[in-house]
Amino acid sequence: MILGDNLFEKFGKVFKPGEIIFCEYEIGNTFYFILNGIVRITKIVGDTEKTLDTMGSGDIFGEMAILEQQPRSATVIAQTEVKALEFNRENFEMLLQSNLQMALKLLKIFCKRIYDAKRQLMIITLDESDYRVADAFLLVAEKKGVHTDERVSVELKVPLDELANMCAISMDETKKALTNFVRFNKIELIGESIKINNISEFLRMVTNKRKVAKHQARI
Amino acid sequence: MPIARNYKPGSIVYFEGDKNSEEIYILQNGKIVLVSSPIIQTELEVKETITNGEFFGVKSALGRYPREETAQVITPCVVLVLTQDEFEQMVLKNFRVLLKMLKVFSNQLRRIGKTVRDIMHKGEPKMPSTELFYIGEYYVKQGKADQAKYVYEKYLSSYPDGQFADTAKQRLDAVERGDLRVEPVPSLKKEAAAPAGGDVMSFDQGAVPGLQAAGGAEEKKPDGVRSATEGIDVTKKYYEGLSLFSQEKFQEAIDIYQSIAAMTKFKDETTAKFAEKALFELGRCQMKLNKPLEAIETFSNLIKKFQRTDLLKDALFAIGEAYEKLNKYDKAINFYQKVVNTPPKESINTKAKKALEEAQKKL
Repeated sequence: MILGDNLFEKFGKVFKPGEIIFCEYEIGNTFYFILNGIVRITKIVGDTEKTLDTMGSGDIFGEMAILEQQPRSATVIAQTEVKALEFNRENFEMLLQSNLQMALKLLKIFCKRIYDAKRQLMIITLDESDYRVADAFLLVAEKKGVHTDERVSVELKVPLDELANMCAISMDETKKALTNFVRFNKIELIGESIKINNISEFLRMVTNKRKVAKHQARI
Repeated sequence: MPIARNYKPGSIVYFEGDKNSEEIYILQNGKIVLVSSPIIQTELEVKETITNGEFFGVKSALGRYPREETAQVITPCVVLVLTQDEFEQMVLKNFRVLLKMLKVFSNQLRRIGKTVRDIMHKGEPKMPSTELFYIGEYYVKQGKADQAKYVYEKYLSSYPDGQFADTAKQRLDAVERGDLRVEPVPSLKKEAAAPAGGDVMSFDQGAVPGLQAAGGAEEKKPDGVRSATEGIDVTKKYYEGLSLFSQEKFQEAIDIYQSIAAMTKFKDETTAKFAEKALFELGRCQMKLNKPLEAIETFSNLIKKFQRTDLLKDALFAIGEAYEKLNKYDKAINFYQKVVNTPPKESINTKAKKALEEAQKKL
């Protein structure tokens, strides 16, 4: 991707290794395009800082700020020296016009995000926590490219807090749901990961639940 | 090269749930309806009519996920079928189209995001300001001075009148001196289950040394008031206060409103709404009695306590006015600016713009 030097003059920023670019819960209206270097996306959970992802040159982060001024959902820290372009809502149209490839990239990010958000919404609109956890399994499996309609066993690495978060239920409720599934031999807990014995069972369970709910809504 | 395909009425271009959804379509001629099942079961099916020249099937193709809707052919149609590459070539030559799609998608994303957040935060609302402060605390504990410094500075610039402003300042000073051995603030007690649907949060305020000093409030709330929430008829008291206000009995009105302001739990959303309004009225009374510092604290409190308040802009505007009373025009301008910047554009935005211009003259 070719970006003129004049863009860097106007919008360029250099971050030192270890420097925070923005912090979770801070209100921000800027987003970034990495020219050079690596950033780490982190979140503090309890007493530990967890790395969710790393990004490098050509990647965009903080793009949700274009949509609305919500608190940042994660912290971004420069891992190496990072050269980036910093934009805000006012000048982003200019950026996109000068760089259609980036606009296209953003379009793809939005498509993915819309789907992810819809998928999450589907999980949390289920009534009972067992079903939510089941649907969260399906989501994680789908993301791994698993065909959830096939009778296959799948091993998923999802930390408990993340699972609870996806389902919008407490850790205790999540544990309870997992224990239920273990008791009925649907899953096994192996160290950090969850082994699903037959993922299509979960798909059937969630699909049926949705059908019933839909039917009841119509009556 | 994109190919043109003809469809007869009653046929289907693709079904909801179809995988391998690589094709993107442009309707050249005819009528197609996209039907999708609702995400929230109690809602009806969503139907969207595609008009000539419109794209469809874009999101699932670009995002590589199953089709989200069924494309039903209503009248004889001619549809242009594009591969992803062909689509990219086409939009890369047409910024307007690309920008329009970005806007449509970002709107959708914002809508769904809001629904998700609303459902997620029903149970346990988190206050960004508090959480931000705690990230600073985390870095101090980890001995990461630079990171801690960044967070405290952000906290102070984002929430200058915040609950932890004084503590954050102390921390910042200490960190700058190289002192990372600060006593951690005792954990805030977050009361577990807030009543469903309410934006109610309560904190064990006594645990935070910085809190009481913030905003220069003279009166401390007596202990025990916080728990005496039952038995107060918020709605009735609110109207009593209003009546006292109209008789210019401001101090008496303040006393009434303060009993509501001390409450942290409300039995239902209507009550919470009245408590919100009462807090705003309390600030107005304090202004009438020429106590701008107290009023600022009240209005900031209102914003903190009821994060999604409809009175946000009114409260921000009132804080601006209070600062003007204190001759702090720069701060006043700041708050007026916040009102001006907050959509949607309403009469208060215009009012704030005028006040801002006036304040700038006095600066």
